[in-house]
Amino acid sequence: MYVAKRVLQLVPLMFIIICLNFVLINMAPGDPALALAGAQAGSNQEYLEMLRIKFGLDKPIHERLIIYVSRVVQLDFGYSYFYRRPVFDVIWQHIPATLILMIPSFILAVIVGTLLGAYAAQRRGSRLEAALTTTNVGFYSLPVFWLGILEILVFALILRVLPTGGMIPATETGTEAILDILRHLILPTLALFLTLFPGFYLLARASVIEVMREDFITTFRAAGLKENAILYNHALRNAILPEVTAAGLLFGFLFAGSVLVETVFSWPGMGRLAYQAAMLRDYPLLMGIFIIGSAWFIIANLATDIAYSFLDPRVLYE
Amino acid sequence: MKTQVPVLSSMRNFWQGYKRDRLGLVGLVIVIAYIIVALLAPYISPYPPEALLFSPFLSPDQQHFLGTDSLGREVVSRLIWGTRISIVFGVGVAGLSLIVGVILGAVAGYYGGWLDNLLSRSFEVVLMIPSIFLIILVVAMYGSNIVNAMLVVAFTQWPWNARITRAQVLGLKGRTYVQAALLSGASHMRILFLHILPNGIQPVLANASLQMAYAVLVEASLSFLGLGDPNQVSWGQMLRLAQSNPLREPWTIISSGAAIFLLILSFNFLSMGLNAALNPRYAERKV
Repeated sequence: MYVAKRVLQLVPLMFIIICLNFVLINMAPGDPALALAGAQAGSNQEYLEMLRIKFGLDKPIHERLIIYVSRVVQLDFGYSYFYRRPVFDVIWQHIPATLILMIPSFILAVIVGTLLGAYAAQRRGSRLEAALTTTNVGFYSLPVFWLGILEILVFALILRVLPTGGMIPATETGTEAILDILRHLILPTLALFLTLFPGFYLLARASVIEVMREDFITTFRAAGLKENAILYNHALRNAILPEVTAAGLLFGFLFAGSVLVETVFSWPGMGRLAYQAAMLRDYPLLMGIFIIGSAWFIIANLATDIAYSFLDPRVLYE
Repeated sequence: MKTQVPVLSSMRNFWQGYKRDRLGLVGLVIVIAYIIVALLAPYISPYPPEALLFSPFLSPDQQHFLGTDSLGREVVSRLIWGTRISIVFGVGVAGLSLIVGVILGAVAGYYGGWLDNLLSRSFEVVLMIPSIFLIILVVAMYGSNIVNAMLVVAFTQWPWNARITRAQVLGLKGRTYVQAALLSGASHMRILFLHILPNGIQPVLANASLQMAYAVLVEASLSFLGLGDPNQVSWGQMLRLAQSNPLREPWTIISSGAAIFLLILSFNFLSMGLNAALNPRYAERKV
């Protein structure tokens, strides 16, 4: 029941996102056909005429909205003038690179952040904990693109031990290609990891401290359980709920969070594609990325809520 | 109904709590220093920020403390002028988001019913939009001037303030002193904005400080991506330009990034101090 209700909420949300896109196109200065075509194609009169017919730009606004929504629902985001291919194909092709980069960084950040946070909570009030927390706020405040450039400066340009960017030269195949991808992954993964794990550290620290105050922990202590056993077997298990939510939200930012890091390291994924589309004023591509990124974000949120309801069944009865 | 005792005394307690958090004080001092630099930029900047006065890629020396960039512009002057856009952006976005968020959140919490339902749904919907894509989309389509960018960033941020305010108002509206004000004939608006909000605003302020940090980061990111205001000197833009010759002007890369980092860090410390003052329970630690 709960799951079905949550899934049904997807429909109006997606509809609102698509409408927002529609409003942005129609409010754009000048001809909406230009907004649909992108700056590069703007001088091609025939192409503009074709778009006017395809999206019914001569029709009243409510009919245009219906046409636009029905096209987007069929995953028809138009045509990328720069890539000379349908927008959906272009985006689809760039997704794997983003997954390869972001998922390992996310997993590493969640695990290391959570464990370190729990460890710090156990040593609450100590110098070590204070130093760890302050350091984490520091990493938390680092702009990922600055960290990336510094990494390139040190490891790629001065020490010359790692590549500056890109993913793989087209000529290699097999094991060599995989090793090469891994070498290219090290710096961007490090930059993402270092800027992402502090969030999980701070959250885990706060929620473990919270749980350690509860009565059942005192009971365990009175029963003579070892502090480590209490922390890792009982406190952490109860403190994990906010971490699950935060990890789910982080996965929602899979594509949005890739823009800066992929641009710095010339990583050929969705984030860099968004940057290029913005630079080239390739609006159909940019809007396609916006809609797919939003859909992914909404689905990740939904999945998080559902996972949460299984971990904490109290939600289901509210 | 003229008595407003709770506000003043709670503000004083608040400052007492805030002072205890050392990092919070450090953050406050650095933020104030940035604001002073931004205000005094024309007087303290050694050279005009856009003037092509020197040879490109000069190393740091006594005349140009951090050298010059690829066009021969002096880096210290550009850093000083770059403070302006970051502070304006941070304060502007957080202020806008604060005003809209507090008003809508307060109305939702105070009046309840269908209005609360409608407003709360709208908070949720806006929070479901991945802000970075929306910001890039709007800036690319509508032009990369600072006003557009600030409006769209504030649009993605106000629901956080609205949610916090709503919860605060819900908690306070049942209090006896509010009931007393109501019975003595004070209007709803007066009760909401003079009696409830001043007593529940602190968590929103802590959040506003976080939003300033976020806005500074977004401005730097947009400029770094080349989507910032081209007519304004900004740290992100400096990084973007220096990125093509990192070995020839490492000082530009280090200093402009450090300027962004330190400002964001200070806003985060500021917010931690505000939180520590709000929850004395967490303030016991001596950091």
